[in-house]
Amino acid sequence: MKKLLQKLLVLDRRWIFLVIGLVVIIALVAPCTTSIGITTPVQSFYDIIDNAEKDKPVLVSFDLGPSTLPELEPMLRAVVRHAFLNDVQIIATAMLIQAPGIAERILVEVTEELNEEFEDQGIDRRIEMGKDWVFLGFRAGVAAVMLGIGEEIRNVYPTDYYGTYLDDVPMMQNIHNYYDMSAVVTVSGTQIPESWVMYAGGPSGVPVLVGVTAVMAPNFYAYLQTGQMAGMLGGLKGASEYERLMDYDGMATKGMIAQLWVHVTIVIFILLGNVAYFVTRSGKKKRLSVQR
Amino acid sequence: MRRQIPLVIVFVVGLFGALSYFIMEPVIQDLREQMLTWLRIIAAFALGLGIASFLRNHGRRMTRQVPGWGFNVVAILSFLSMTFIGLVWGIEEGTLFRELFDNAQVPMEATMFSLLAFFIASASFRAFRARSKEATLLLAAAVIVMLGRVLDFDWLSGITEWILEVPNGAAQRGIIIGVGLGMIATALRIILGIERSYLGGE
Amino acid sequence: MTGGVRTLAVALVVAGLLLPVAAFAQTGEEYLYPLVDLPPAQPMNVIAEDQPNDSGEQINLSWTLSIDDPRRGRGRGNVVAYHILRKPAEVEGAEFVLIDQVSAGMGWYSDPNCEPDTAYTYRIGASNGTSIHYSDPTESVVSASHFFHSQRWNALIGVLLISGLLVYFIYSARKGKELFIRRIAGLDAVEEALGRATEMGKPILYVSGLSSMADVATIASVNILGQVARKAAIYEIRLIVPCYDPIVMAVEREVVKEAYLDVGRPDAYNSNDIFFVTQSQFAYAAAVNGIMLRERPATNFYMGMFFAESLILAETGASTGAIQIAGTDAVVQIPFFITACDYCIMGEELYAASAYMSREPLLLGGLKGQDWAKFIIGALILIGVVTSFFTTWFAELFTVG
Repeated sequence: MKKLLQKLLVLDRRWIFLVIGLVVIIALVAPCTTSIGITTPVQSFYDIIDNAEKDKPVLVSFDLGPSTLPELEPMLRAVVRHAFLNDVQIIATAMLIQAPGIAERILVEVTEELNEEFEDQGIDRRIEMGKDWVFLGFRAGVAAVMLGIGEEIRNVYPTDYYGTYLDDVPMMQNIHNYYDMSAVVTVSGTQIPESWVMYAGGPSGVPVLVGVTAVMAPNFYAYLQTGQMAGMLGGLKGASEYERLMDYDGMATKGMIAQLWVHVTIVIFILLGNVAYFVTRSGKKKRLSVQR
Repeated sequence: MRRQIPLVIVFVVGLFGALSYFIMEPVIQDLREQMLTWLRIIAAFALGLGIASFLRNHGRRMTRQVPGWGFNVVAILSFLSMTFIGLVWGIEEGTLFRELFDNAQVPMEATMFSLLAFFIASASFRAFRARSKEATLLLAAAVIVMLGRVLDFDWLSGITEWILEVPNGAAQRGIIIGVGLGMIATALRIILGIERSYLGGE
Repeated sequence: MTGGVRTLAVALVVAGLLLPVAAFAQTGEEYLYPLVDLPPAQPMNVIAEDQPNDSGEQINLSWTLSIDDPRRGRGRGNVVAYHILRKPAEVEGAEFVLIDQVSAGMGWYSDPNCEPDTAYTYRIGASNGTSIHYSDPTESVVSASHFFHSQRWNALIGVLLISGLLVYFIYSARKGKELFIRRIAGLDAVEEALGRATEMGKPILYVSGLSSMADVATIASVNILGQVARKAAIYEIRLIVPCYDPIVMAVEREVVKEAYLDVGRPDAYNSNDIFFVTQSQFAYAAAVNGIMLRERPATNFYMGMFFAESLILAETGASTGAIQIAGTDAVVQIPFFITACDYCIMGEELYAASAYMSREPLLLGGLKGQDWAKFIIGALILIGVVTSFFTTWFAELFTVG
């Protein structure tokens, strides 16, 4: 037994990789479900979108790359869907060069999904580009872009992603800067949300809502407490809470099962590592005292 | 002279940047807006600089056939083909560029990111040992947060949120205040021309 | 004409006269609908207000929607747009000019094209596409330019106070005042790490983070690179610097070149070893991992701003057996670096590194100033905590507009 534990202490990390990989695959394939509670940052995020004024759009900045997409896409879909269902318009921007492709795909897919659902349910409503959302694309220079939108959005984005002048986009007719928006939502695996707080939320007072990867989430609790960030979705967990608030069974709810089992597996590994550490250490101590 | 001109530019622009936050005079605000436009233009130009370096670096390794030069060929070919496809057929939804982006780049980058899960597992296995009082505290907090994030027990979620908001928030804030002051100090040293290493040399 | 026909004719005439009148006569919550397309009812309660704390270019307008606006769901619902008309209030003979229009349902507008310190009046017209019904002109309002942002006094005082402290200590250091700086193990280890690379005859890898030159962490990293390059030039160690940002690359080339020149080894400088990789986060991590596995550097430096790739880099580096020294102000990444690296420079220690390594008195003076600023902030936080039990005015002093 002791030998086994000693081996465990110097376990080749590839064994850990293998176990984690297997657990993820099994959890995703197996027909399990999980339930989760709602945390305050997610509730605040949800409430702000839910209560947004209809003629004051929400700026959603897709500040992510393909790498963090699997973790962040569920929350983007949930937020965009929620806004559309509440007749809240979306101004979409991208602060990273890889983001426009992702942003466009998500906006188009959610639009199509909802339009199909409306049709199936016989609801006389259609989500339309230009009326319900406008996609402005990427501009280089994060801080400069954010400050520029604070002055006049047309200076930074004279046209949308497809070359239409903002003055010709129906929903942009009366939108000039952050004062004309209900909130700024930024979804990112980087430090960009801090820039939104500094350059958008700080100067204009517009609520900044952030969606971040689980790894980055602890970084932003200080901003949540000061109110500089009005709400936060942290990783898959945050997204699944949001989906639960929307009563929508989306990607995050499914992904949470894998996350649950991986966390449990890591905790088991940590506990086993500690047992092995204490057992072998007590053995060493005894041996030292015998030698003396 | 070569050193003086950049220092003067830094001083003037730095001071102007700070003042324009407080002074709302139309002239100042207009100039500020202009400067933000210049900043965006410079940022766009930098992309060209990057591309030149990328091509030179990989091209050199490829022509010299250094070990692993096949990867350099792949890098250059990928860059050129994506640029060509994007320029010729566009980059909108439904184009070949978008197909390649969605079906090649996205999964490749997601794969790199997902490695993090494996590395976190192996690193936490190594690091979270109750070697001292502090390490035990860290270990306990880690286990509680990890489980509290996924299990639906109100009391566990409550403790998790408390750990994240109170001790974590306090430590973060301490570091953020220090970092903020450090930033002001560094910015001031640069504006005053005391810190010049970024210009090359002392 | 029979009596019956005459009665009918009179009734029709009366009805013809009454119908348009009836259109405006409310019966409870409902309207009687007209047979003809009349202009919609005008918007009410139009208010024009100066945008506070701006440079005098914006006036904000708000109004109650016309009763015939479709959004109100009551009247004729025939409003399609609101026309915004403006005229300078103090120019004689000036007329109202259409400046913009917004779609039905909008109850507000920001006019961003005002001349600073000019008085204007506005009228809002509800349009059904063919005819318009205008509101009364608003009171005249001046688009005042404010020289100073009235809600930022506190920030200015804070900046002046902290800057004053820093400048004072920087210049007192110039006068030759001795300043103490505590040991920073990670920076002391730089020498040891370089020595190891020399013995092994292997290169050093320097990663300056994944941010731009606008980030103070990157500037600090570039400063440290200057010091590292100086030593690398003396020991004749190859220095590999893969860059994430093209501007950072250009700066780093200059810094390393100057360092080699300074120690009299310009011949050893190789610009090809400082190169741009990619601006894609994980492609960059993959490339740097590849360099680590192929070149097997003796020492890896990770200095600057890092994100989720930190552990991927540091774990791979650890598996190659390199000595690793990390430094970042990205709080979330510090635990990862502590786990996988031999030394970790935390938070503001990174900014202090340049001063620490060069021992330049002027730079050290800045650190002393920072400490005093921290002391003041700590005291203010304490006062804030105590006063918050009784009143909020003290905390409100720190709200920035």
